[in-house]
Amino acid sequence: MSGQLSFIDSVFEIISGYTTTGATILTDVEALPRSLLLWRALTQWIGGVGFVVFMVMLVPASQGSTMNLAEAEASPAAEKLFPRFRQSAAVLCGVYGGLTLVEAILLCFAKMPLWESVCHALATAGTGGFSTRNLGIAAYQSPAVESIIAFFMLIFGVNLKLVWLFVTGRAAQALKNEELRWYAGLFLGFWLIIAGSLILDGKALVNALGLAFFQTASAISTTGFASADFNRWPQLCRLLLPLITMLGACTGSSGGGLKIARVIVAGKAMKRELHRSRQPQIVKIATLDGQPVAEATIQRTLTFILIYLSFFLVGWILLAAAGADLETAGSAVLTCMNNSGTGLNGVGPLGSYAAFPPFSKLVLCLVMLAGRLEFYPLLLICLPETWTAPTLKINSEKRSS
Amino acid sequence: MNRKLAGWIAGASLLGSAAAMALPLCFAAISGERLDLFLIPMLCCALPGSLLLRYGRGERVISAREGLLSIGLCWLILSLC
Repeated sequence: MSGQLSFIDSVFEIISGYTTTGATILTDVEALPRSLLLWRALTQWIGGVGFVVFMVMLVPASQGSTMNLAEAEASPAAEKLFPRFRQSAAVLCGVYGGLTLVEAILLCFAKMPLWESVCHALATAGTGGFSTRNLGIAAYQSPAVESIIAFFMLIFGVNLKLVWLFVTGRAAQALKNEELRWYAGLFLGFWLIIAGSLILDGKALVNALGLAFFQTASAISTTGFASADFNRWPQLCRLLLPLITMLGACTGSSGGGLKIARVIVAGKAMKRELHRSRQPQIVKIATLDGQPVAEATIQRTLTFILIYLSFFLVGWILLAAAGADLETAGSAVLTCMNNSGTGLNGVGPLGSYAAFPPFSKLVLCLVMLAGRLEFYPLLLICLPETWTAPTLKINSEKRSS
Repeated sequence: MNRKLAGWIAGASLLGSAAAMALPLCFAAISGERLDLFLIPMLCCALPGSLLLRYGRGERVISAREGLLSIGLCWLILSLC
């Protein structure tokens, strides 16, 4: 990065960009050349849709092969909209690009300079959160800018397939989606709780609603933009905001976190086990969107949550051992793993990751990558058996048929 | 792990990364900023990218496990470029 940063700082910044985390080690972004700021935003836009899928789509490959890559990369382009992957991916990337363009135009209308509108639209689409201003969105002091960005953060946190249904006038079909309804419900609930907490803290009603709307949208979509220094907000808000990023956005979106669908499945599995412990003879099947959820899916979901919690604990211990205070360390690991980037204390909206020692930055780099790729690709690389076992024959052509 | 396949995917990603830098490069040229900020990384990505793409030529079938491994490797490589 222009020779001003150390190697580890540059790696941290680019990983933060590609993984759409938005955590930065830069303390003065406004001092950087504008082309570099555009590149930072662009990395988030590409990372949001899935870098490798984006590139491999340009090179001829079989239907199932690209699908395997898209699924491995947790890319929104992996959603099955049409029978052919390439067609689905092209439409979903079109929706992604189209919404980015609309947001940039609207931001221009809200009197944000053109270049900054483009950068912020790219960063919002990838649910990244890199801003071109040191104070982030708070620098603009514009309710119009905040409303537009908050609205698009929420949109980009939704499954792109459902956004396509909305765009093509099939809203009723999209609204049947259970994950979307939970996403909307959770957002509304947390928005009102945070706004209520701010009102009790002495903020005016409209101001509290506006601040809470933006910050809850930023947290649930795991974007990480900030319109205010929520480090100074009541303890309940400071606790809730990082936890909301953990729930994350919808599957098939560019957002991070556990993903709402997984939380629903885990919740239903817990409920079912509670019923079983009370009445063992009763057979209860967990459902999602009215369809029974396979046992294998429940097991995969619970394993995923276990891996997630293990990564969080190990990362937290390592950062604390390297000298960070517990709150900063915990929120840094949590927000990096959820690809949100804005935590508490030293890594809050006005803070940066610059103060961490190189070892901690390396740990956070791995945590960001693991969170973005949903753990398995990185874990597989570390397993010795991966490099010795024969290639699986469950190949693409069979899957597509 | 099929090395040729991993090479092909890594090559495509590196070339893509170089191509993506064309936009900020143009922007830098228009606004009179330093071009070497992008030209050097573009070369660093494009050269090994084309070699890797040549090395993995002809391989196109990717299993689920190879997909996971290739993605992990690619993201690690891209992070260092």
